Amino acid sequence: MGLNQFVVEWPYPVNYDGINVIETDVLVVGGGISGSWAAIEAARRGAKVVVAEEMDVFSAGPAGCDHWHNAFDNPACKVTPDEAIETMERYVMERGIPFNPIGRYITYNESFKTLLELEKLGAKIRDTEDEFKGAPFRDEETKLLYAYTYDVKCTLRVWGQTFRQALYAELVRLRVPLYGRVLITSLLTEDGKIGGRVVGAVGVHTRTGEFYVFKSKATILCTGSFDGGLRIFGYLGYGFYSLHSPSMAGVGHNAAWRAGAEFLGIDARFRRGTGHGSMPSYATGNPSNTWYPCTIVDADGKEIPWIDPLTMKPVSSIEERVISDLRGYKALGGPPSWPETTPISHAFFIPSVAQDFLERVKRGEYKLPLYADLPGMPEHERRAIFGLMVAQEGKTWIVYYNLTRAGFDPNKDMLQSYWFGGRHLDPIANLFTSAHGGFIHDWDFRTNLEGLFVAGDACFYGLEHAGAAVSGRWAGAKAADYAKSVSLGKIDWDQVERERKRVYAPTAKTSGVDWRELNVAICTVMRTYVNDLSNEEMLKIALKWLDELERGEAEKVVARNPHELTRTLETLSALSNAKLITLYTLERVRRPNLKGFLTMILKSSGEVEFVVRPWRWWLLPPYAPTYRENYERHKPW
Amino acid sequence: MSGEKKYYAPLTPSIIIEFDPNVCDGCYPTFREPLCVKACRMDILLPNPYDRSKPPILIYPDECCECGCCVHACPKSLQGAIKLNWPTHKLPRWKRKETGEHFRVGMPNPPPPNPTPPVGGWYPEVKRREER
Ligand SMILES: Cc1cc2nc3c(=O)[nH]c(=O)nc-3n(C[C@H](O)[C@H](O)[C@H](O)COP(=O)(O)OP(=O)(O)OC[C@H]3O[C@@H](n4cnc5c(N)ncnc54)[C@H](O)[C@@H]3O)c2cc1C
Ligand code: SF4
Ligand code: SF4
Repeated sequence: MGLNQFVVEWPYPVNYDGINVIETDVLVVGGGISGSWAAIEAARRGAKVVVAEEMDVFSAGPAGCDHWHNAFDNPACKVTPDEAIETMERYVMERGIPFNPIGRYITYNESFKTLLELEKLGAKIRDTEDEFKGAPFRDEETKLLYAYTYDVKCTLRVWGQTFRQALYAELVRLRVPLYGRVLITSLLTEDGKIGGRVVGAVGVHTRTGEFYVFKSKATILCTGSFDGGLRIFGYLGYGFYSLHSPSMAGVGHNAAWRAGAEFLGIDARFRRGTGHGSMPSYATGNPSNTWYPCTIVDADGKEIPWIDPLTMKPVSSIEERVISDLRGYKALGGPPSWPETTPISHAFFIPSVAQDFLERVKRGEYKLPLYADLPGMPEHERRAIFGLMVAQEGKTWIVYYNLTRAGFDPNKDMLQSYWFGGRHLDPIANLFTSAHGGFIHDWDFRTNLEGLFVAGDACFYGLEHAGAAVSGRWAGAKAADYAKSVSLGKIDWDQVERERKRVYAPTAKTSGVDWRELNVAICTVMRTYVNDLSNEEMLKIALKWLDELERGEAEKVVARNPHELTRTLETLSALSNAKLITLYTLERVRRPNLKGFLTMILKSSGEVEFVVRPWRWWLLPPYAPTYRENYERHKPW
Repeated sequence: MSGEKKYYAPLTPSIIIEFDPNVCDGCYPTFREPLCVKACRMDILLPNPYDRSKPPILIYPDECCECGCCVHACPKSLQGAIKLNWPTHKLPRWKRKETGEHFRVGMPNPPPPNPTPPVGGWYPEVKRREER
């Protein structure tokens, strides 16, 4: 069929009146990385578990992973989990950087063990073909490959493309019912009350439009990260924010928020995005993350200098970028600015290209544009970066595929780089940031709501891939145990009916606006008023704007088929989340001297309550005073 | 009532996802659902409603997140059954170090493809538990 037609008939049977009711012990909302692990662990413990996933679990969540992080439990790692958490805590305190101490510490102790579990499921984590024999990042005995800091060995380079498949196969083997293409729109609470026990969830099938009611003893929120309305769909009207899934709209976050879960927002003054990816992610040269430690050169081939983030000393060779000992860290003593011996762990202390670079371009020291000098890298690094990290991550497989098909040859070619010093060459293009607001949880990954657990990037400040896997397993075990101790709660059918009415309203309209228009409006309001220049007045205008949208234009959105309904519901959630983030930012502006963690809770009265949790609340009663004690006390195995 | 009403999706000219009808058989009858359709994270590929053995149909191309899951999932991807063409404003450029020549994805008179497979192959094996 060519494009000689203007419409295509919807191939799926549509039934907006249909209702399916499913009963289970454990409901996993979101079948990405944490959700898959949660379901596997709960099923292995004999719980009846189902997964509800907006996509198909087959490809849900990011398809893979190129870095397996935080493997401080790896026997070869030179830093212990306890040393790592001490360093991390100190570093984030000094710099005011957000972090999730509970999720991190548990991950530091479980990351490598979980990777070995994944290997048992068939995933590839070792260089068994000896393709990197003799490379400085390879352990010749175990054939494991390391990243970032080759003498510390807490981050691994892996064949992430195999991860999704391995998890999916295990879910199928365990016969876990997978409800794919079901978007969960609301959690159900006892008596329909905000703050009550979570007794299930409801959702809509994204192809048939049928309604789903899940009754569960325990529910695990595994819906990934969200962007707080900062950048959702491409606001230029073309191209979704590259590689990110629609879960960035935060439907899951919004459902948990409306049920009364304690939420830790982000101060959006420090996070700015535009919703417009001007280049496919990972398909341009850069010196960090997947592309670390690639040399960047200017138009004349002059190398951009690297710098150590703690000592602020220049890093002169490629070896120095990847071996902390050569930078004076003394294989895990401290850098000069930290005179006493403090262990140094990886990612937060790796060198980067100098951030004042833009000024130096303006002074004429360097000439744009910039290129990633893959041909100038040692052969094993070049293959590790492009042939392994980019090609085998999973979702960036297509980057390798498309570039090589177009004739790109890493042995000869330098890929153009579009960003420098935190800025993109195209001034309105995206900055790669994510919001990572999320839900507060305890050492069992329980939220403040009875019956609701959380895992992965939906946890406050997010946990990345290894942390998602670890927290998913942990929460799955805890939820399965909890489910054994309780019976199914009572569903409030009035709550179900209210939600049905809300959800299907856009399908009943015959005139109005497309969700895209609303989406662009939300992004525009957020960009204009909620940014590094925001003050109280600006934020109040934003809130008023968003409120007007909610009561005005949002009521006019039309959905002509279940797919448009899905996008509409996502956009409505994004609108609500944008308000949430603005409200949070406003509160932060009003408390310039805030010490501790500011969280927010929706009360049953409909009011928003702000809570200040003291610094180190995770080690205060009712918890034990040390990380290790809490870990040992709560460990499910 | 909803059973009788017909539903549609609008079609927009686009080759962000491009099928080769000579290679793609709609995964018919091997798979219940075409694998690219199953894999699509944005759910913008529809099984061909007129003939299941023909390529799927792309709807709402502006929603594509360029994840490539559709191409990756296709059993005939390496034979060219399905391609992801990045949108025109998102085409990476590069420079050949020795000669200073400039290239971009999708340029007229492109250089020959680079046939080098990734480290570990295009599709590294996922070993099943029973096999080990
Ligand atoms: C391109 C890319 C590369 C990355 N590389 C790395 C890496 O190398 N190392 C690393 O540590 N991290 C990496 N990350 C981050 C990492 O993938 C995430 O931190 C991790 O996947 C988080 O897991 P999660 O389970 O919390 O969320 P996800 O894996 O995102 O899963 C969330 C799932 O929930 C579903 N969902 C959301 N809302 C709903 C709803 N309302 N109803 C039903 N389903 C819903 C979504 O569809 C999604 O499938 C990368 C991310 C991307 C995008
Ligand atoms: S493109 Fe590939 S996966 Fe999609 S229907 Fe055709 S053969 Fe199947
Ligand atoms: S690239 Fe991803 S979002 Fe786009 S059509 Fe393929 S699977 Fe769908």
